[in-house]
Amino acid sequence: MSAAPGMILPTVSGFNGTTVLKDAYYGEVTNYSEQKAGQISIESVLGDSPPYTVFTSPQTFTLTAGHAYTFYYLDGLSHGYAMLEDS
Amino acid sequence: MILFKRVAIMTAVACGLLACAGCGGSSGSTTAAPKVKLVNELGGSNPEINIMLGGQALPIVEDGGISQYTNAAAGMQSVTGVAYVQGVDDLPSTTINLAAGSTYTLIAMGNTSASVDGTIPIMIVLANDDHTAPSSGYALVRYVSCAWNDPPYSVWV
Repeated sequence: MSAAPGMILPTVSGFNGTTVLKDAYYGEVTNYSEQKAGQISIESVLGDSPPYTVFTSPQTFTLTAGHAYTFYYLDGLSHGYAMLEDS
Repeated sequence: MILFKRVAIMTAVACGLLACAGCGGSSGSTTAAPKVKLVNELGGSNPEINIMLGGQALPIVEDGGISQYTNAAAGMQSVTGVAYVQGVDDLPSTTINLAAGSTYTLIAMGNTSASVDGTIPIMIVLANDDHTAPSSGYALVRYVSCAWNDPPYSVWV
């Protein structure tokens, strides 16, 4: 798979960062995973094949310690994506 | 048609309330009722959805919206609903099992406009919101894919 400049390859373990959420098919919900509280930036949402979504600027969200959140992704349709609190 | 659907829902709600009133309510159990919130992630032109959980109407949620948690009955519950587009589209019905004391999110996803020919599935997904407390200084994050027209995605931060 080739990647455009600046893209992050969705390798399983080769990314110098934290994979919050692994591959999820339509309708699939991942398990919760821990993420350091404070601001997080989601830079991209990548699939195994094009099309990819790389945000023109990282989408930042503020996480409060002890709280739980779900990131919803719709691939730019309508509102596109959202981080909603579960707790 | 819309009027018919809304009357049907109101009737069902009334029946649900009557059924609840008739069941006594003094079971002696101290177990908390399950709680359910609703998220509307239907793409396209769906302004709002109206979901019935058993005989109980959940709060109407607009596109991209989220409701507060609502107490629900434990056990097997039917889920039916409609999305108000230009007309009214029935959402697929399903059955879910709610455990006492647990919290859940019902997520409506898909695209009613694109599913007219039946090729785009609309889904009602139940997610269990129960979780153990994260380590100090940490939050919990999960991901749900509502991308009905794309391959599986990973989210990177």
